[in-house]
Amino acid sequence: MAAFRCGVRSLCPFLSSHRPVLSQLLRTMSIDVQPEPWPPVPAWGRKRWLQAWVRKERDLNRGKVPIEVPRSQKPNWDYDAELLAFTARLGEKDARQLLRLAFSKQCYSGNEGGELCLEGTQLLEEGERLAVAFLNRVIVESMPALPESALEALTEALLGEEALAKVARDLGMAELIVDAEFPVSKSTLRSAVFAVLGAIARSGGSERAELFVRDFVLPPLSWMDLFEVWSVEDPMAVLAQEMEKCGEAPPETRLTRQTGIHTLLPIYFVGIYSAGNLLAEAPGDGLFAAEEEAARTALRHLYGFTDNRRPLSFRPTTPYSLPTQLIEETTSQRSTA
Amino acid sequence: MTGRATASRFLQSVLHNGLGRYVCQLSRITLAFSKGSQTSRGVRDYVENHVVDFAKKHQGTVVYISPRRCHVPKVTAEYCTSVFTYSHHLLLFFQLAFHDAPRCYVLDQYKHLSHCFGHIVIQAYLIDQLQTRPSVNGGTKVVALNSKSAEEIAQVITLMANQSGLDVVRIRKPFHTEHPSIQGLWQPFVNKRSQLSPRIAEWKGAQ
Repeated sequence: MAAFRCGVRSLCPFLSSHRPVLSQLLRTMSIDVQPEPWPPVPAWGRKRWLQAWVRKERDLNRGKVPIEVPRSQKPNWDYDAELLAFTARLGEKDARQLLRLAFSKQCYSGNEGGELCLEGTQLLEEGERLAVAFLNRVIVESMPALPESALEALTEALLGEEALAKVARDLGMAELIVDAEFPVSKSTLRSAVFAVLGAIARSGGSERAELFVRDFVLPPLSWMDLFEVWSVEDPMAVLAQEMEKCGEAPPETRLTRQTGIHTLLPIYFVGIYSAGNLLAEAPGDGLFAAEEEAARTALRHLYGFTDNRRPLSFRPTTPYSLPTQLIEETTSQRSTA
Repeated sequence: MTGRATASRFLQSVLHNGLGRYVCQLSRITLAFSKGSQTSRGVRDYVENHVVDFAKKHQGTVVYISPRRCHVPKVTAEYCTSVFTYSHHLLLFFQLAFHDAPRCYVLDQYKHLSHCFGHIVIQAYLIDQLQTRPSVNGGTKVVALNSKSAEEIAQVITLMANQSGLDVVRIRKPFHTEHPSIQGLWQPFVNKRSQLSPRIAEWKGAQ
């Protein structure tokens, strides 16, 4: 009893007077190692009369790393309730049955055979197809002059592992994915997002799925720089091609400004002209660097991918499913079950 | 303490929340309280009378009600956030992990709640490690509710539901933008006539 009561009290070494008893208890029960307190104890909290104990504890636990454990293995976890809450959070109450499938990694990683696996893979493919189609449509609508390779690069960046893993984490999907591996890998998170998209498309219609992509996957496009995701070795050649396609005069470069040319940090401004009209002007620390930068700036202007472009539209706002319907559903389900 | 010494962060939102649709960041709350202790009186009152209203209003949050033997009733809020900055907080609670088989029981007086909503779960486990550090899954915040009335507890829980899960520290600027300049940043050559422009004019004239 005494041991139980000891353990129940919050362990705060500065306040509790049962520290040696507690540590002995820990050792005998071979508990997972307590992590170092974070943030580190401030100066006024380091009591002189406590240092010996702290040092001893630290020496005992040196080299041991606290074990990170998935949320589903910690107490207070009800998968059904969590899934219900997930659907309510996103407003996709229809998708609950399919989402259960979407979150089981086995279905689309190909461990199990049979129908379940097929459906999971189908969801994945549907979701991916939908996402790519939607993004292509939106980008082409806002920037029709963009070439194919740039479009592909942008879509790939938006649907890349990093981007989609972040989306999955910030929506709380990482905890719902049923996977033996922990922490869940980025590729699994990416697949989960596509599977969820597929599930939403099947149950709520492709419109709901497109709204999902618009709300969570599309926004980074607003602050993306074209040439960060689309690698172009010779922007001048690309520019010349584009001008030819438009039927305009070929680009000519002229040095417009220069300063500090005999110092360690010269700056040259190069302007690109087409039939005497300035297309773009850009600085660089060498003539060729400046010319390349000017070509890139000209391409940005041409494709409409400047910093001051019109922002993406997020209207109409996503219609939210009525919460009251969820209550009725769950009551009826629980009473029958 | 000066602003420089204490933790701070920049204004940010989790996954540009609100740009498209609003997603409540609070994924679950766990109410741990005692059946008979004086300090848990307010929490018991809250659980009996107010928690169901909260759950109705926030359908995206799972409410776990965990009656157990404890001196200090707590609410633990877990968020979807994966972004986390460290702050020096006063909530440094470590609790023991006991390796007994977890006992799971539902108290008679709270049994009615389990039939109402799918997302209120009543379980009692022996206390497990509850850390306030950020973990792989998301942010966690713990608030002690000892000797608080039901109304105060409702306020605390509503506050947690409205937060994003990001640290409550000094925000360096009350604004954030990805496009700080629309017309382009000033540099010394802006609005200065080019020294080479007469040549350009000539060339244009020749054309």
